[in-house]
Amino acid sequence: MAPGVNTTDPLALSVHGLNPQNLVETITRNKCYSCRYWKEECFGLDAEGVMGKGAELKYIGSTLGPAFAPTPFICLVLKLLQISPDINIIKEYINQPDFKYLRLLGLFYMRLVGSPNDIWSCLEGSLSDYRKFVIRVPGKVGDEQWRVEYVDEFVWGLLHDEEGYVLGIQLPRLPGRKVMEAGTSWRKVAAKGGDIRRVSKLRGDKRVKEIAKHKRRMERIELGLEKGGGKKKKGLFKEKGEGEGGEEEEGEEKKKEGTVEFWNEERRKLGLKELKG
Amino acid sequence: MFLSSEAGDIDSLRHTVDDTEMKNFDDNMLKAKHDPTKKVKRWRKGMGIEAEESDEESDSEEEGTLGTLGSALGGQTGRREDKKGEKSEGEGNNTTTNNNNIIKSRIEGRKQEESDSDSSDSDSDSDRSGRDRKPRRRVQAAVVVKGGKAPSSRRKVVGDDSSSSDDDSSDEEEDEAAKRRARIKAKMINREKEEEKKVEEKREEEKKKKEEEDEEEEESDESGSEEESGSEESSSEESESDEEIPMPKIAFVPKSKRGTIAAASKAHSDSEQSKKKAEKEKKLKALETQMAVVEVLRKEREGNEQDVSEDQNDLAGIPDVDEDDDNFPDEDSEGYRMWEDREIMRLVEEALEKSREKNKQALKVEKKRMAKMTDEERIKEDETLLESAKRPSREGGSQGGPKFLQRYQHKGAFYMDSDKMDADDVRLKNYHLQASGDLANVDVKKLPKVMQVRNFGRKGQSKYTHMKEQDTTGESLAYGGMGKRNKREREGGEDGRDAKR
Repeated sequence: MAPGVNTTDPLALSVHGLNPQNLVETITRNKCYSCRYWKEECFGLDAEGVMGKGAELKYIGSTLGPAFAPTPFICLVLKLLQISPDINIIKEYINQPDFKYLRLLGLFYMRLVGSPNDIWSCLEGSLSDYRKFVIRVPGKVGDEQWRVEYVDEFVWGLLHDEEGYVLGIQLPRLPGRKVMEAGTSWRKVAAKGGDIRRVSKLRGDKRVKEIAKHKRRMERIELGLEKGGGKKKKGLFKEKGEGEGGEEEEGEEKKKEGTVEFWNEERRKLGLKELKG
Repeated sequence: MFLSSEAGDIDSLRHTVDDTEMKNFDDNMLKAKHDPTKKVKRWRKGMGIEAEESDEESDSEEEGTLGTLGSALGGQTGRREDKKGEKSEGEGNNTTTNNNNIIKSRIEGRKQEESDSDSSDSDSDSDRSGRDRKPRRRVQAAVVVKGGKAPSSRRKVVGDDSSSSDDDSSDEEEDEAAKRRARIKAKMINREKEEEKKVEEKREEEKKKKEEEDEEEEESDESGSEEESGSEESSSEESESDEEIPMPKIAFVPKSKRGTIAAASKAHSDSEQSKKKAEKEKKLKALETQMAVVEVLRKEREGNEQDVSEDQNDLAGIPDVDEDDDNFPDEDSEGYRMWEDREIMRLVEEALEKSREKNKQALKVEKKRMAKMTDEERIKEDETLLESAKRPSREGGSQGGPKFLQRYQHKGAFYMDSDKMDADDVRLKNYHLQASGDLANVDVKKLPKVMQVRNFGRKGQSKYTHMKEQDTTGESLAYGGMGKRNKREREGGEDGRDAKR
């Protein structure tokens, strides 16, 4: 490509062995190049200029309508890919607490071009951001175009989305957290306090344990690794003396089936209110 | 000249004034009419009129001829000619001969135009008769006609014929004609000079430009025709006529004297009024262009707004989500509490990742173990698994399942909130208790086999009891089946024994 206004910065590091702008697929990219926002607002922007534009954003989104008109957000992402600012600048975008759309911009860009260590440490740090933001989805006129989401949910999606297709952009593959933990480089990050997740407030919460236990069991039953299903039902039809055996784990058998106490026991396990009796 | 009788036009004879002419006519009729070697078209009545007046035609008639000729040609050559004709007509006494005279003069004109000699002959004839004006006029008429109509060879022939019959001594006549021409030329020059003088006088008067122009016209006309004699009479006549009706002039301007349109317009714009007008127009135009620019800009802006509304800056209906952001982070806020729930679910997901990994491992181990087992071992294990997975028999239970052939009652599908449940809740009821009825107190199993059906002895009796009896899975030896007999033995040993009995 001949050098022009849309050419990637020659000093930009190639991302995953490619021109970083190629992370945005061709059609979207060309739509951006020809859209008014790109030409009017994004011309000649540097990292500081992008920061200003990011702070002004009112919503995020990819492309809109039947014409696939690009949103300012996606234009700014492309601009960042073009100018390839230093990763520390992007970290500043993410760490500043005032402008959530700028943070989202930084997070998204970080997920596109960052190293796995940076991605995991920066993005997980933003999982505590519970602010709402507006995302505009392509839809017909009159349909609901606006959707409200939470920053933490968006970030979680960036990290854990199975398809890795967010805002019309295929995210580069990211090594899982387990893999990261197994590696040596992550240990360094963690030593510097980069592993924010590990010190999450709710990590030791009771609720987490309970629900995890319940879910774990359900999954094992599903896989046939554990007998399950219908403990209650069995109990319904079982005569007192002739227990089937096999489910002697907990003390549920002590309670008479069909009695209020029995059900209360069951309901307690499920986190429901107890019966009045 | 050929005769009017030859032309077949008898009407032309009616208006002859005196008898002498008639006599002459009769004499001529007796003469050889035409050259037999040459082809002559015969004319019949109604075909068209072509007549030739005789030399002896009266003066007045001549005048009339000219006049009508002029009027007839007026449409073609211009009104000046017409007026001349009218004037001369007025001179003529007989005005009733108009129509015929028109025709005659036309013919004469044609003839004149066809051959110079012809015209000169006729002139000489008229000269001989001592009338000066007549032939001159004739010539004029001929000249006029020249422009109007194209000559035809046939007529020329005819004309030659007639002229030869008329002329006795052509040589003498030619000499005379030459002399006459010289005389005419001299006269013309004189006349022109006179005219010029007149024109100058008139210009001084500065009165009527039109008149002047007309005079010039005449000049040009007269100079154009050699044979025209500059008689004072005619000129005076013409000037009189000019004074009467002013005519628009079509003047010829030589190329060297022609100006360009631009020059003319420039001269026009020099005047102050035009200057003012131009200024006004300029201002108006500037205003118009300004308005146009404004309009274009407005439209552009509108168009842009439309574009924008399509994609980017139209924030209509955007939900306001920023209300709590000022206090972020705030652990007492609703947002924080909701976040806690989400965070817990995320942590659970993370925690489950380990167990999922374990599950995968366990499945792998299980697969390996199964792979090591023999077929018999596998079948045995499957059986035990099936046995353990079997639901406890409901039949005959005092509390539980329905009896054999007991009528099934559905407990009913009603929405009930699972949060609310009392001790005597309907959902805690045993729905499999035998309802009172025919077979309420009968143990159907003890009845003979034929009677172990629904509605025994009735019209609606069915031979089927329950679905399991119809189950044929495993009866085939294919697909790892054990065969019908084996299955029967295995499953319902008692039944088989029963059947034997």
